[in-house]
Amino acid sequence: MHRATIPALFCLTTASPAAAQVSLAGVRDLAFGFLSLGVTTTVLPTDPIRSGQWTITAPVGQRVQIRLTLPNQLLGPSGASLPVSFRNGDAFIQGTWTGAVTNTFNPSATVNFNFTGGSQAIIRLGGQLTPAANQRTGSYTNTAVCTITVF
Amino acid sequence: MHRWAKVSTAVLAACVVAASDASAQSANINVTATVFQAIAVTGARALDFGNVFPGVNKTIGTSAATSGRFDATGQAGANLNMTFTLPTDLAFGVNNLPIGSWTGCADADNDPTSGCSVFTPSASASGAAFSAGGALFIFIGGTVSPAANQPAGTYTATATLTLAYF
Repeated sequence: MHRATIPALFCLTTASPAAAQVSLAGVRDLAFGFLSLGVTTTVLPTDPIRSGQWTITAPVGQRVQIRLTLPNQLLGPSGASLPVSFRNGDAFIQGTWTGAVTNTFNPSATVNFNFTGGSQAIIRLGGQLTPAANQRTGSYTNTAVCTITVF
Repeated sequence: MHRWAKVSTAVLAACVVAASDASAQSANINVTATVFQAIAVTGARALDFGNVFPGVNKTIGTSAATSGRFDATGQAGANLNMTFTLPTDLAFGVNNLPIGSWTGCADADNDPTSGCSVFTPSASASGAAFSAGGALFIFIGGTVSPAANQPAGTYTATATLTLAYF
């Protein structure tokens, strides 16, 4: 029993500190707003109001992998659905420190990020919707998930 | 395998799993949209200044029988922005007749004499809302300022209204 505690202590002292200092929060919904029937609406990831946003905090020098799990449709009234698409370039990650470079990426792929000059970064998400001409009117919603893995 | 080795291996495996789980985390945001009825807007009545005379300004108010009118339908109760592309002059060949000012009002019914919300038509957005029945009537008026030597003729121009939900 005593011998078994040695690897357990090793685990706690090597894996937990890095993960414990990294946090992720969803801070803003991707809001397409009011759509007219048959009219395509695009939200760019640079949109300061309607784009979705997460914030990551991590120690300087930390490296993380980011993966977005995105819906292919929004769900609306009486079982109605509204297809949503995310194209290459519809997401970016950028550190909040001075001189940080915007890293635009395909939201369908994973991306790695290094906290080279600060401890906070934002992920922005845009997308595109086209309600059909006979789309049921009402409110539609779904969930986008951001998962980060700490190296 | 010795018992110690088995225990160590099991603990190490658990450790690896625990470390892997602890290093990943997720956060959600919502993706939202509200689908409205398409907006339909038509130019229902021309703004007609009628006969004007050199050197005499003429104003047509929004409640006048010859004010301009746009009829719109859309999502009941929804807010929208009105933006206008307006001429600065009416034209008759190479001759121009300046329009000095514009007036406007928006109403849920086709009666600009009561309950009509006043605004100034311009390229900047003005707010309005569709009625509970999904209707909106927009009336515009203005003032033309003929010069003292204004050539006689029929002067025309086009005013364009654009509506968008907000």
